[in-house]
Amino acid sequence: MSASSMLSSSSSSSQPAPGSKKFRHTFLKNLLRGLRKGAAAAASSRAMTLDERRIAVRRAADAALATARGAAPRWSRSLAAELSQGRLLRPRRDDAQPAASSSSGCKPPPASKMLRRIPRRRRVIRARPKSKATASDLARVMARKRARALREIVPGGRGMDECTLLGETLDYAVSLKAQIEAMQLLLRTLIQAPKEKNPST
Amino acid sequence: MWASTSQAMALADVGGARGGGGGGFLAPVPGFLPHGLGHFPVDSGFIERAARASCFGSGGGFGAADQNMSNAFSCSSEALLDHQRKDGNDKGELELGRNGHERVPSSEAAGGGDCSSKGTSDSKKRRRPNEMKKGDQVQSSNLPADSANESVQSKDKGEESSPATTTGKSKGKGAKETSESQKEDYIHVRARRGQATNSHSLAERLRREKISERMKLLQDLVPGCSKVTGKAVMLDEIINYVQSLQRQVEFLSMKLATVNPRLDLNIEGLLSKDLLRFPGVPSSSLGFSPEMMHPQLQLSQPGLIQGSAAGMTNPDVFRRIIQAQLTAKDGSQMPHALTNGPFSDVAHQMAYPSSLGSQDLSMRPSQDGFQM
Repeated sequence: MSASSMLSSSSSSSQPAPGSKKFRHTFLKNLLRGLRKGAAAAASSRAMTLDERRIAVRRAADAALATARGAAPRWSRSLAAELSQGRLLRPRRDDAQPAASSSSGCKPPPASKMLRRIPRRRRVIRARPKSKATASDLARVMARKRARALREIVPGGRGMDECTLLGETLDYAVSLKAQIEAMQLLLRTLIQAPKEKNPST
Repeated sequence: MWASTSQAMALADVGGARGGGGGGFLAPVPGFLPHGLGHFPVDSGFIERAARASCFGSGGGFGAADQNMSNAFSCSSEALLDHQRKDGNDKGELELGRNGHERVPSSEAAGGGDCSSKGTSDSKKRRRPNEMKKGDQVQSSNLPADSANESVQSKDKGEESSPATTTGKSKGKGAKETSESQKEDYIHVRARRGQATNSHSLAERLRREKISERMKLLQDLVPGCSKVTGKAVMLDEIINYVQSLQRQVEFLSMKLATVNPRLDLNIEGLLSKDLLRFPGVPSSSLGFSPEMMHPQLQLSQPGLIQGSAAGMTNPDVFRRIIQAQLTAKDGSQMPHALTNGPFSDVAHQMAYPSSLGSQDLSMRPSQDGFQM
């Protein structure tokens, strides 16, 4: 499927720890490559809107992050699946057919995890004992709500139990931090380069 | 308490009305056990490394696995400055990641053995031996607090297990247990005295310990959460932190889109500066292999770096552009210590410390294998 193929065909490293500078380097490379590809794919007449460009940059950054992180953590797999799902449907119509089929089959790596999803219905059906809101009940409810919120933030969090959710959150947060640093560096370079060139020219 | 409740409500409302959290934090469903056990080697490896590293977070310089995680947890700016240590880390990270998680037990064993040999009284170190206990027999440890563990489900697990772990450690589990428990990737939990020993509660306790361990790791990661005790508040902080990170990414991508009138400004010598900025620029193997095959092509100078990073695009055009760029700047900022034949002239222009040279030399032999 496109997600795994994207991950496998990418030339980025597959055993990156998100705290390493190698990861940042890989991410930068992927980001630049993705940006170039995005600029080439979207014809110069299109995507001139700032918003469109921003979305393209964001998507390239996410794809670069997921690719640089590899297939080891679950969130990167689901992130890659999300990205390849959303992207195929829009720019190319001839890929609509494989995109449609892959959109359903595109998520086997995350889908197999989603099969083990927490049975949510059990909780919904259970009658809430409203008689006394003991501290334990409240704490449980609060924890559930937060866990739900966390699931929605971390990509692929839907299919995880809470223990792996925390682990994935950890990894995701570290990777996001590295991504932010790399993008900040890129921005600084982009902004300083014209300034440096001006005196010389 | 009530403020956080309302905040949790707000979070939930924002997140949507559907119930997403089936298995509660406090009451893990036993049905997860078969899957959960299968997850242990995968997740525990990462977490063990992180936990071990956080033992020595302040010390540093212990081992590749630890430094990896300690670097992950130390702040980003300091991490940039700490490239010296990271140079030694890369190989370790290479090993750890390349073989997936098979090598995790070995690295864990190495780290765990050393960790116990240090004999520190770090709470994390105590926690891990408790979690990694082997055997099924009941262990005679006097932990009266643990009898309350099973019943109380709303208490913070971290608070409860820390007194449990301290007393458990004081019982005198040796380093032997730590090392031998880490040899297997199957976690056996030893029941402490006063605890029920049927499989359900054992597994529940295991899950809870894992969760609390990860909560501690997250606590180290999220800035400003060292004094926060309580899982709910901690989760709030984590959620806020991750949300803020995502917003930052959005903002940065907006800035990037603003800076580029067209998305192809990146080609112009960016990579040289970026690679220079990143301390200890890694010589990417992507460009190395084509470069090596065409020795002395136009590789006398700066094209190497950029060709490496942009090997997928047209290398020649790129190299020329970059050459023009770099000659405009001071050309002494060559990060590569290339002491091999065709690049000897480059090596002489090096302003970088020789530590990078050794790094490059170590990279060169494994050209395509280094990064992959």
